[in-house]
Amino acid sequence: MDADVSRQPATGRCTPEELELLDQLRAGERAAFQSLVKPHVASLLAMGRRLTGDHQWAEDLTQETLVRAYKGISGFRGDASLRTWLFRIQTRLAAEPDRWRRRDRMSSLTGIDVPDHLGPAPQEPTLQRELRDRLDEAMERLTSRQRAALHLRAVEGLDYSAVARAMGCRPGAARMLVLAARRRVLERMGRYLTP
Amino acid sequence: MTTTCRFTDPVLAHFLDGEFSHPSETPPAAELAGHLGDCDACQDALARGRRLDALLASDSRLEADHATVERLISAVEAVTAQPEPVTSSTGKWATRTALVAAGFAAAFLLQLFSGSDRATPDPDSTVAARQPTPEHTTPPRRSPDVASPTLGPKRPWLPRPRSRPAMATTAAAVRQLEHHASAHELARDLAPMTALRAFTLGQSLAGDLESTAQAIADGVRLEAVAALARSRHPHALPALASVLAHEPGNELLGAMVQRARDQAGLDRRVAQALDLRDTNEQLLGLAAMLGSDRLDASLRRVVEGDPAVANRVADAVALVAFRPGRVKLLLTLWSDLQTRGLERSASLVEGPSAAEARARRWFAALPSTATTELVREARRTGNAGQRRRCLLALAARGDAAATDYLLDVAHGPRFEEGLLAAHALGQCPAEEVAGRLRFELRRSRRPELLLAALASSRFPAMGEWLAELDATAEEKRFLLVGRFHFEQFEIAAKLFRNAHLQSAF
Repeated sequence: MDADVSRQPATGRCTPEELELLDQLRAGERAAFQSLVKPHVASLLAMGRRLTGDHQWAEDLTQETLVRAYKGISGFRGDASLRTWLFRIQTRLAAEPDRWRRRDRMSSLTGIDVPDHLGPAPQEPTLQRELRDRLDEAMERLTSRQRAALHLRAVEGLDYSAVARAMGCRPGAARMLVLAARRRVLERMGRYLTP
Repeated sequence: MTTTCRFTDPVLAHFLDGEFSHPSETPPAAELAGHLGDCDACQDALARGRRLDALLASDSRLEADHATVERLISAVEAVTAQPEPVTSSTGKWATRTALVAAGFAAAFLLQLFSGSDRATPDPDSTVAARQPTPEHTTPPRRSPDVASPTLGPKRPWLPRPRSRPAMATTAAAVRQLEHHASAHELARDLAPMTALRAFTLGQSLAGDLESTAQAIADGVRLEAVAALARSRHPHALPALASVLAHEPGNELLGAMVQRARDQAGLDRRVAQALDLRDTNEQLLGLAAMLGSDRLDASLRRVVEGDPAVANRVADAVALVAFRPGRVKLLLTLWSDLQTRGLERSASLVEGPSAAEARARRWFAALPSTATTELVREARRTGNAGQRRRCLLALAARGDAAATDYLLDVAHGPRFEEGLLAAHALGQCPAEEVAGRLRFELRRSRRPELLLAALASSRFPAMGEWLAELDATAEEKRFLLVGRFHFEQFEIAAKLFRNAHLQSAF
C-alpha cells in the first residue's frame, strides 16, 4: 500500500498544506481537491466498511461522502480538521442510506443476503477467522452511532473531542457512546478476549 | 470491561484511553494504579479492553488498496465534473425491455427455422428416424441445452436462464454452519437456507419466463417468506427483512407481509431483536411493515435512542402493506422528536416549513384510510400540538375526504388551527372543494382564509376575481400561482384580508 493512501494520524486542525490546497480549490483549481482528500480516502473506506459491513456499499458511501465534500468545501473554513469534517459527512450519510445507496445494486439478487459481514478471508487461521466473525457479529449488534464512535476512537485514534465533532455531539456523549460500545462488544465476545 | 470493584467502567475506560498517563496529577488515577496491582478482575477487564482495541485496529479487511483509492478518486472526479449525473431509470428499463423482447423474438425465429422435427417429436419414431437426412446439407442448429439425439427426444429450445451472481447468503450461512457439530443442529439450520434457495428459484423463474412462471414463482416466494417467518434460525430474521426490503412495492409485497404476519411469534422475535438495539434498517422496515402494539412500542424505543431512524420507520410504514392504526405511531414519533428535542435542527421546535416537509415525507404516500385516521385522531385528542400535527399531515395529503372537519376548524375559535385547516383545504384539488368553499364564504367569520384556500387550490375563476381586487399586479400574480406552502398561505390570507374582499366578491 502506498504511503499517500494509508490511514493518516488524527490532527486537531488543518495542516498548512491542506490550507494551501483549500485556497487553490477556492481559486478554481479542481485538481487540488484530489490532493486534498486522497490521504483520507483509506480512512473513509475503512470507516465505511465498518459501518456498512459491505465492501461495495462502503465504496458507494465513501464516493458519496467525497462528492458531498466537494460540493460543500466552500463552506469549510479550515478551523477544524479536514479529516474530522469528512468523517462527519460520512456518519451523517450513513444514517440515511437511501440518499446514497444505488437502486440497481439493491434490486439485484445479491441484495437478498444475510449480512455477510466483511467478506471471507480464507488465508486466515481458523481461530483468527472465528475471532473476526465474533467481532463482526458483536459490532453488528451495536447501533450505527456506537459502531462509528468506537471505530473512530479505537481504529482511527481520534480523541474524544474529535470523535464528538465527527459524530455531531458533545465530547461527553461521544465518550458514553464509545464506553457503551466497548461494553456491549466485550459482553458478547469477552471469553474470546480473555488473556 | 465490567468489574465487581468500586472502580466503574468509565474510570477503567479513562485508563484504557491513556488519559491517566500522569497518575500523580489525578488522585483517582493514582488510586487506580495502586489498585490494579492487587485486583485480578480489573486487570482482566483492562486486558480485554486493550485486546479489543488492538483487534479492531489490526483488522486487515478494513484496509484499502491503492487501486480502490485511485478508482474512487477517479469516480468522484467524474461525478463532480458533471454537476447533474444522468440517472434515467426509464431509459434503463426501456433498454432492458427491448433486450428481453429481442431475446424472445430470436428464440421464436430459431424455433421456426431450426426444423419441424424438433417442434413436434413423434414418440413412436426411433432415434435413427430423427437423424438428419442426407438432403439436409446444413446440420440443425443446436444449443448446448438441447439433448443429444442419441440420448433421447430433443427438448424445444428455450432461452438460457440468465446467469445469476453467487448468493452471498449461502456462503455466509455455510461458513456459519461449519461451526455446528451435531447433525440435529445442522438439519435445523438448513431450513432457512432452503427457504432462501426457494426464494432464489422463484426470482430466477420470474426473471426469465412469462406470466405462468410468474404465478408459480410468486407462490414459491410466498412459501419461502412463510418459512423464513417461522424459522428460529438466527439468520432467518435478517433474511426475511432483506427479502421484504428488496421487494418492489406491489401486490406481492402486500401478500408477503400478510403471510409473514400470519406466522405466530414473529412479532415477538422482531421486537426482541429491536430491543437489543439491532437497528439494522431492514429490520426496522420489517417491524414497521408488520405492525403491532408490541412492535410499535419497540420502534418508539429505537427512535428515542437514535432519532435518525424515524424517517426510515415512516418510509416503511407507508408501504403497500399498510395496516390501519399506523398513523398513530407516526404522530407519536413526530411528537417524541419534537418534545424530547432529539432533532438535530437548530431549534427544538420545528418551524412550519420543517414540520410541513416532515408531514409531506411521512404522510403524503399513506393509503386513503390514513385521512380518516388523522381526522379521528384530531377530533379525539385534547392536545393542541397533536391537532396541529394532524392538520399539517392532512395538508400534506391534500385529500378532500377531510373537508368537513377542516371547515369546522376553519370556522372555529382557534385562529392558528383555522389557518392550518384552511391551508390544508387549499392543498385539495379545486374541483373537489371549490363549490363547498364558495358556499361557506357567506357564513364564514374569516373569509380571507377560505379565499386563500381557493387561491391555493388553483380555483379557475380566481383570475377573474382578482381582476376586481384592490391589489398590486405583483400581489395578484402571487395569488394566481397557488399551491402555497404554509408561510405563503399566511401571506395570501393577509393580502385578501387587507383588500377588503368581502365587497369585491
